[in-house]
Parts: sequence; structure tokens; C-alpha cells
Amino acid sequence: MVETRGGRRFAAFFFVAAFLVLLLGHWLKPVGDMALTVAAPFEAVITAAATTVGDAVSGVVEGPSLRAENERLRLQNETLIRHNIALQQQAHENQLFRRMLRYSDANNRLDLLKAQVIGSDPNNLAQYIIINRGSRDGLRTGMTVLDAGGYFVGAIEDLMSNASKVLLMTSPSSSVGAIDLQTRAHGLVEGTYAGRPQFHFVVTRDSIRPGDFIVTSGQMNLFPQNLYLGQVLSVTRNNVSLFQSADILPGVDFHSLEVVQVVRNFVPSAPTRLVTGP
Amino acid sequence: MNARRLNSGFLTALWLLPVLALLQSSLMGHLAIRGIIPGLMLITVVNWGILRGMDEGMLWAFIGGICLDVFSGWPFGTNTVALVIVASLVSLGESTFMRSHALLPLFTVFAATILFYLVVLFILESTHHPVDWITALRVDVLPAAVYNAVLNIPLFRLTQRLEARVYPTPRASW
Repeated sequence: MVETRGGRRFAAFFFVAAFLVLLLGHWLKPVGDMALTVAAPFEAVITAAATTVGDAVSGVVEGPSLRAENERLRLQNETLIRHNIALQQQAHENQLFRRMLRYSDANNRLDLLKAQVIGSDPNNLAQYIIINRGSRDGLRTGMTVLDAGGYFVGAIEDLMSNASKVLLMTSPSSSVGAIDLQTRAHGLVEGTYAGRPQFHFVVTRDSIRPGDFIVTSGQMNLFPQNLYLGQVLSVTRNNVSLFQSADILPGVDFHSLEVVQVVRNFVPSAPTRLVTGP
Repeated sequence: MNARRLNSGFLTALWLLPVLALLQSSLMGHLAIRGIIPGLMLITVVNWGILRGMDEGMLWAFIGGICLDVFSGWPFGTNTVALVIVASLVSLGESTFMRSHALLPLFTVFAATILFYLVVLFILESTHHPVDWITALRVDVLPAAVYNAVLNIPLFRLTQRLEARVYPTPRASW
């Protein structure tokens, strides 16, 4: 193809313009947010229609994999029931102790706002969802998002008036303070490109075992305590490393996320500066 | 460059690409296979570049990229830069040669998908996002390239039809 001088100039113009958009993206973001505010209702309609059709199709197509998943969930359910019985006993004892100590926990009752998932990030590498609630519903950046069952999904990263972008816990940009419910080992659950989050920075003297439940630790006051993140699948230890890590099976099925809940009465309040300068 | 002819492509881009971005964000998630979302916008922009050459390819890439950035969680402009770079390289090929070889659009979309994600990963790393190149390529980029290439079999035909509508060939009258 023979390119004219005008054609080359035209191409160069778009190169420069594209890089300017990237460089000045911070200032252009309000325009993008406004566009998303306008697009959100349309996106909600398309997603609702696609979900209805998709449910019908996936029932036929995913039959074998659903059976395998059903078996896995059945086994998980049996384990959970056993844990639940033990926890109920502990809860009863806890209730008695609280009454005795007149203990009241401000975050014991979470104020949850239901939201529909109306879209996802258009590409594969970034793991975001778009929900149909925004600043006009009282949401704020950093608020915790749970699935319908109360399992940890992620946190609000970007806010429009009628929609929000939620960074999923499976995203490589996500990092959540976590604790092993059985052994009390502390670490961070971080997203990876491979799809499964990892329980990182657990010191080797602490114990983590396959099957353990991992919940939010509430450290740094970024997320409420004791929200279920997932279960340990396998542990990786290294003789020379100070830390061990584990693969986590998230409690949430992120591919079929349709409804979420936003925790409205817990606003993160991490200190912005720990040490004052000279 | 024929400004009048480019005008038709520009007007088509103005209504089609926002719709595609909307579909990419809402509908394509439902067509994901093992979490891999097909790149409807990327495929369309690449096909248009193949069919219409650099000027229109880059125009569509620029508008399409901005539309994607509205829905994306990446730094604003990431999609725009990646798509414009991809479109410029794709359009360097001879468009009539590309049209006449049925498999070339498939390979072009395969290569364009890899290039698109390489640019994106580079931008993400430059903007202090954690990037694991090997895992990202193995788990996300290569499967997406294969998926997009396969999906381009029907989509290239559709884009050719769209081009024929936007730029109808004048019929000889005797």
C-alpha cells in the first residue's frame, strides 16, 4: 500500500493523540465516568437479557462440568456442616461470655446494600466488575463487596453516580490481609494472572494446611474482620525462604457473579502516613 | 486520503464502536471460555484496518480504544494506545492481498491479540501495576489469541459485509 504524506500525518496524529490520552488520562477520567454513567442503564438491560439466555444455554452445554462441580460442592458442604456444628457451639459460649462482659461490637451487624452486576472489564487481564450502585446510593471508594452468600468479592475502586467499578480479589492488583481460621497464621491474599489467588507472606514457623479456611484479618482497618475468602488447596514451602504460600480456592464463583452486596457501614480508614517526616 | 470517503467510515465508527464497547463489557463475559473473554472490539478494529487501510484502521482504533477505556479498570488510555499501535502495524500490510487470502485475517488477529496484550502489559508495568509476564502470556494472552482467531472466521465475513454497506461499489450502468 502506498501511503501518502497526508496519510502518514493522519497516522502520526492518532499516535500522538493516543499517547496524550494515556498521559492526560487522569484529567480525562471524569469524561469517561460521565460516559459510563450514561451507558450503565443500557449495560444493565443487555446483561439482564444475556443472563436469561445464558442460563438456558449453560444448563445444556455445561451439564458434565456442573455434575463435577456439584460433587465438589457436596463434599465442601459436608465439611462446612461439621465446622458449622462446632462453630454453633462456640457461638453459644461466645454469646454467654458477651452477655457477661456487656460486650458490644460496632461491626457485628453489617449494613448490606444489594447490587446487580451489570458488566465486567472488557479485557482478560484486568479483573473488575461494574455494579449498578454508585455514589447516589451512599457508596464510597474502598467499601467492601460481598457475594449473595456473604463471601468476600473485592472492593470498590472507582465510583460514578449510578455505577461503580469493583476490583476483584482475584486481580493481581488486589491484596487483602488474611488469617487462617484454624491455625491463626497471618498473611496476605493476593490475586494472580493464573486465576487462583494466593495466601502469601505467611512465616514458615506458622502452620497452614490444605482445607483450612482463610478469612479477612481486618488488619489496617481496610476490610471488616472474618469475611470468608476461600479454602487452602495446596501449600508451597521452601527451605531457604522466610515465607510460605498457599493456593486458595475462592469462596466466590467469579464467572457467574450476578448479584453482590456492598457493606455500607464499614468505611476503610487506613493511616496514610505512619511515620512523620523530619 | 479521500476525506469524503473517510467520512462514511467515521460516521459508522461513531455509532458502531460505542455499541461494540457496550457489548464487550456486558455480553462478551457470557461468551467467556474458562474466563477468557473474546475481544470483539479488537477483532473489529483489526478487520477494518485490513479492509480499509491505515487511515481508517487508526481512526477506528482511536475511537474504539477510548470507548473500551470507559468500561475498563486499567489506566485511562491503555486500550487506546494498544489498539492504535496494533492498527498501525496491521494496516501496513497490503489490504487487497489480505482480503484475497482467507487464512490471513485469522493469523493477523492471532498476532494482533498477542501484540495488544504485550503493549497493555508494558503500560501496566510502567504504571506500577504488578505484572507476571510469563503467567499472563500462558494463562490469558495465548488462549485469548486462539479464541479471537477462531471467532474471526465468521466476524471477518460480517466486517466485509459491513464494509460493502458503508462503501457500496458503484455499479456500471449500460
